[in-house]
Amino acid sequence: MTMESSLKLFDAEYKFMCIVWAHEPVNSTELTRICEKELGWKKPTTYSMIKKLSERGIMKNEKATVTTLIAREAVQKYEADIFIDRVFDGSVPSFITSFLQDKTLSRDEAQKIKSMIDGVTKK
Amino acid sequence: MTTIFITILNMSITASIVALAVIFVRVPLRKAPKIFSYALWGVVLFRLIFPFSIESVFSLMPAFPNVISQEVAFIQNPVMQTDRHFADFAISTVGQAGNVLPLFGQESGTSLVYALITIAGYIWLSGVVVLLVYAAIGYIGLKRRVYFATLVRDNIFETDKIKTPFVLGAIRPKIYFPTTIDPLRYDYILKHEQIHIKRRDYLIKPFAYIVFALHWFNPLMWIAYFLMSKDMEMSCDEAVLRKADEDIRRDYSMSLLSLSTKRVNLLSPIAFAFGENGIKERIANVLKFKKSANWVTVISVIVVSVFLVGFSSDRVIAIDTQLGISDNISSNPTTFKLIDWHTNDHGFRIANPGEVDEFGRAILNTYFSAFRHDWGNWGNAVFYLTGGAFALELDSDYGELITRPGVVYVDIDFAGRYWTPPFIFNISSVTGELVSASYHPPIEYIATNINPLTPGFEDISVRGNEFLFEAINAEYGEMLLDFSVRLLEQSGFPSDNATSTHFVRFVTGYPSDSFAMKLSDSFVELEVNAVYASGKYATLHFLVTEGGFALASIEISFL
Repeated sequence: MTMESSLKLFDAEYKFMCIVWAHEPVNSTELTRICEKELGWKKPTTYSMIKKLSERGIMKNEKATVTTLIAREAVQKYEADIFIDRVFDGSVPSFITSFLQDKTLSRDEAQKIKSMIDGVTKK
Repeated sequence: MTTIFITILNMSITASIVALAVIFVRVPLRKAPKIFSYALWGVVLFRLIFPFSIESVFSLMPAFPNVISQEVAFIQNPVMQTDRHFADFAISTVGQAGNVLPLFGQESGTSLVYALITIAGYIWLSGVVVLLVYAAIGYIGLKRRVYFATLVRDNIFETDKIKTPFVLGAIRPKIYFPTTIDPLRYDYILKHEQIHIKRRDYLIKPFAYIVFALHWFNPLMWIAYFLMSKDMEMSCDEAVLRKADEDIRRDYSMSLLSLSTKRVNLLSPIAFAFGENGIKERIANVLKFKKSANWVTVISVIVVSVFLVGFSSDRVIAIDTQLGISDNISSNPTTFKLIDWHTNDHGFRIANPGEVDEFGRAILNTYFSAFRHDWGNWGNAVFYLTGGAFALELDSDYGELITRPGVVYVDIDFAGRYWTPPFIFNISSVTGELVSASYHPPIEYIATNINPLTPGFEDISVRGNEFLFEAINAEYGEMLLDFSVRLLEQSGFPSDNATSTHFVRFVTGYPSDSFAMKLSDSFVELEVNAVYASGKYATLHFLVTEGGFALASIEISFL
């Protein structure tokens, strides 16, 4: 399995990852408690999810401590890429055009986006 | 197995009549709230589950339940029967034809009809298994998909692995939404599912599926299941609309439509998908929905009530005041009036009104006779029922009588080789009158354990419906054997059958639990007319002993 496809997360997996990202490193028992409250999961459900994601190399559970192996940004980027690919034929400008339609940006926001674009522009 | 299958067949036939009636009554009810149509299916379910039913004078059922008699398996030329009085009919027919009612000891178990019924029984069973496995696989599949569903609030969960909302679970049912539908925004979809839960539909539907699966061979039952599911959904739709403060018909039908393209399996017994079951009709039903007028409700309640009472019960067989004999008690409706017992042709027949016996005595309601006079020393038993008292006269050892409070069992025996089905007379303990009389077909049995305990008894065998035990022992020649009989287990017999001996009789005619018998002609025979009620079971344990020394033991299970 390539790194790319392993980033594809189902709804439940993403929600679960969000919890781990917010609390990591987190004790697995503590994690089951949080998941019971937040996701309505019973203990075995949480543990099988940990196991499932560990096997995919997305997180690890060592000495009852759960930590993620990928950053939230990586998943977000992966999802964004797929989205742009699928909806905008991989064209970033048309994505931004559509995104900016009917929206106004403050000077600060515009500046921030500009510097981001500058940062990735090939010299 | 055959017994169960025949019971199912009979229930299916009865339920078909009720199902047709429901389909018919649904027509005038189509403008009424669908909850009424839904309620009607309850009667069909009831008929499909209970082989017996309550008898009432209010019954709307035609009087021909148990169309296929359990005896069909034992009769070489089975009579398919539209008259409740199966035995009456069969017996009189046979008697008039001067024919022989098949004696049950004679290879009846191997008749073609019996074989066909057995094969059909197995086909039926495999069909049931297939349908249940199919449902189980579907259930496991759904369960897997919603395994990681996440909590929205209360019992509402969401997951991106499903496409349409549904309810799942038996003890604590949960509502599952696809992540593409916000359950809080589509408030009425949520309400629809909540009403399913409130009405326990999530239990009723799987239960109905199991019941209909048992009757899978009956196409009418599939129609019934389909219509029932539709009525269930429509009445649920209506409940949502009724409770809504504003007119949501448009929005509601749009949701139905948008979800209909993704619906799950139509006949699924498990899930209550929102967009399930006859979307077109449901939308039409939603759009024409009006809060119904009171009079519609009142009339519907009346129609449904009449229906529920009328079709839940069977028709009472009118009590024949002249004869004082009503319908019988057993599951085999074999009502006897008065029976003249002619043994020269092994036949039975019903006495004609005004008929007299050979002694010139009128065969009346107070008189019952069973006699045999043309065959050597065969028994001649005469039964009188006079002045509210039941009397039995036996002038031969071959007649056999076992009495019990309120019930008299009579069996007429011919040297153990041929025997009549036992008659059961039900005598009212209040009036002392003969309330009912019936005869029972022989019961299927199997010899489960035949253990020769001594050399020379290896050939002990059990044959036929007469429970003829044969123990060939050339070595020992003539010897005196003790047979002891013990009832190992029993179920479903009337509570007054306290002792095992009442079930067991031996060829000598001594109803005793231990007796000595001469072994001659290299075999012993032992006859047990043991079980007088079908659908019951008992295991009898026979121990053959000589002088306290065990020779063989046999266990017989009646099915």
